[in-house]
Amino acid sequence: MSKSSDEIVDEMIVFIEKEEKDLQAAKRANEKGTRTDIVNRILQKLDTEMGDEN
Amino acid sequence: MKIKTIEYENFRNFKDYGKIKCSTDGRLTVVYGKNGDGKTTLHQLFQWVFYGQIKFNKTTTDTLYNLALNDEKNYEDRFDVWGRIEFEHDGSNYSLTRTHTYKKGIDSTDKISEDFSLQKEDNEFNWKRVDRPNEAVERMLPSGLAEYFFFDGESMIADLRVKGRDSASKLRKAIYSMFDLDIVESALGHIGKADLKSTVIGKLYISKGTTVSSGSDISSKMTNIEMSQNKIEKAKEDIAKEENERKKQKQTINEISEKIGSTKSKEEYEEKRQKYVKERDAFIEKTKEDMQAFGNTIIEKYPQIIISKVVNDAKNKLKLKVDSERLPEGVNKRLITYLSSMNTKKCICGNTLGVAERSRIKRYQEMLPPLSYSSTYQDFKKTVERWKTDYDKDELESKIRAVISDQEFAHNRDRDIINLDEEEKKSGDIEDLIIARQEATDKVTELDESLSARKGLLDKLNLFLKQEMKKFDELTEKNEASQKASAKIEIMELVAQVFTNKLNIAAEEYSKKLQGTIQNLLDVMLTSKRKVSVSSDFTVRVTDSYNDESKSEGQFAVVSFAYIGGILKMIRENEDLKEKEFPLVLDGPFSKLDADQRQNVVDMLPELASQVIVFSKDDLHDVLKEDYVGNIYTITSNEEKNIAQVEEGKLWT
Repeated sequence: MSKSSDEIVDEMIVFIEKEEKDLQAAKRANEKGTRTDIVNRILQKLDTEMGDEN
Repeated sequence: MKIKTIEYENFRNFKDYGKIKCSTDGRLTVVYGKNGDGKTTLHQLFQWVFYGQIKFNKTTTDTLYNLALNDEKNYEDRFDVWGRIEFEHDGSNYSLTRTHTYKKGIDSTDKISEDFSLQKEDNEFNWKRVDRPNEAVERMLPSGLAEYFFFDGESMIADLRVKGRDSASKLRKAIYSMFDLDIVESALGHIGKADLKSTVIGKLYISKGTTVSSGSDISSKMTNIEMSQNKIEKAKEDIAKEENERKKQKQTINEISEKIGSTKSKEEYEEKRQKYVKERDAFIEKTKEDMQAFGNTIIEKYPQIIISKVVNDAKNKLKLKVDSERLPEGVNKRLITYLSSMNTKKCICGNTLGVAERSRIKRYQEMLPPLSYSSTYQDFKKTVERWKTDYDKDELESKIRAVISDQEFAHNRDRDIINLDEEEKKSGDIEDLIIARQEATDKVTELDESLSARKGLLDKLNLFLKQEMKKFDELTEKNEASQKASAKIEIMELVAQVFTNKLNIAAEEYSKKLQGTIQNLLDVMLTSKRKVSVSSDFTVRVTDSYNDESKSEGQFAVVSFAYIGGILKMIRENEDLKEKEFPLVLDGPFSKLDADQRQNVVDMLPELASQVIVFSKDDLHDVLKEDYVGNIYTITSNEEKNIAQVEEGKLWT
């Protein structure tokens, strides 16, 4: 059964917050972490949540 | 966290090894140092050890090693710049060490390696290395708040006075970091909008046309959109660069204007100098008159004092000569008079008396008092007995006081003249300042014209992009890919809305909270009433009853203390942070405060943080409560100010 919009929004918020925290930690540890990486990961997660995986 | 010690070697002007033990029992650690001795350097050492980053001011180089040591080294020699902080955190002891290793080359000395290590003491008192030290430090003492834990009052005043917007942006950044709102802000940047191609929504938008073949209308619109997005991005970068340059030029104008405001013309300097010289000469003249009056009174009323002085002088003189020249026993005035007579050809010992002998005898004669000691002393005693009852101590003292006070006035004016000359030497020529300001003003005008053109172009590009996007929407409306992308965009827009609301509510809440805490602190610290307002973008304004912003440096100094106090109070009240202790290492602008303000600020220090380490060029001992003073150190420096050291105790006043 596919998820409702509200459920997807909540999932995405939790996911993005975690990704951003990890990115922040990586930046502080002088590790690599680019804008493109995180944008792509958000897009992938969105595809998964909306059942649009290729 | 409580900092126990900080050690260093070869860090900037601190060439030799040094160590400061900080009070950890709630009392204040004070590090005194005069201007240029290295207070700020030592203050920055804390940030360097914790974060590896420091902000030197514009007038200094960013070289970390000691230049004198570098000069002593030979080609290819290696040496370290080193700092270590030992601290306790959550009941455990830690030791944090940062080392940069340099190698001296022919033309330059370069950093060849660096090491950063954190060690923790376990229950068996063994030190073990902590993995990922940066992250561990970040958890214990977030770098986003570093500017507030390691507070540089002087630069905060400069920020508040000249760059209100910059200090607001720094404060917003710090508060966002404190409450994890930086994560939300970053997320919003990544989610983006349809016209920003590297963002989530931007990519989703363009994916509406991904399934079509090249050469079609959709494909051509996609190309147009992407091209205009690139141009928009470039235009925005150029605008940002020019706006930044404009801001710098405006800042230069403000700084020069302030200098012009406080710079006197050559005529003004000369006028003031002449005034001081006239006053000094008048006081010198007055001193002479007072001395004369004193002498007259003494001679007129108290000759015994003169007599006493003569006797004492002669006694001392003779004693000295007896000791140094071995004046023979039995030499008296009568004998000397006999020997120095031109008729006497031989001494009583049988030796011939020549010119040299006679001259020596004459010197002995000059050493003796006009009368014999005993008779002079008897005379003096009698006179003293006679005058004793009439001796007017107050009269004499008042005359002495007048002499001293006039001498002081003359001396002060002399110093004022020297200071004025120094000030004139340092202050640039007012003409040069006016020219420099005009150049900066012209540059601003030039930038304004360029910015106006660039913004016009940006508007056109945005308009074109909008039109192309509209056509693209119409063309892709019925595509399956487009419908899927639109559904995803809708979700991401809802996510963005949630984040935006969260940020707005938090910004409103924290700015109001900060406003309250700063206002409370200002009410205690400032003698005059001022109103604080903190807007939701964290711009801080301090105004008087006429709604005018404060201008005096002293008030800004107090505001800077209230500012840091307010932020630290917010940290202490934060649910996630309140269990933690944070140190406050304060390079405080105490000299800018008047006596009342200084007392009020110092009284507030214990409330700002559980551990306060203060750097000061001003003696704070008169305003500090005795039981609040912990360890005291003083920085001393050589004349060239390139080698400094820290010694325990207060070494100067």
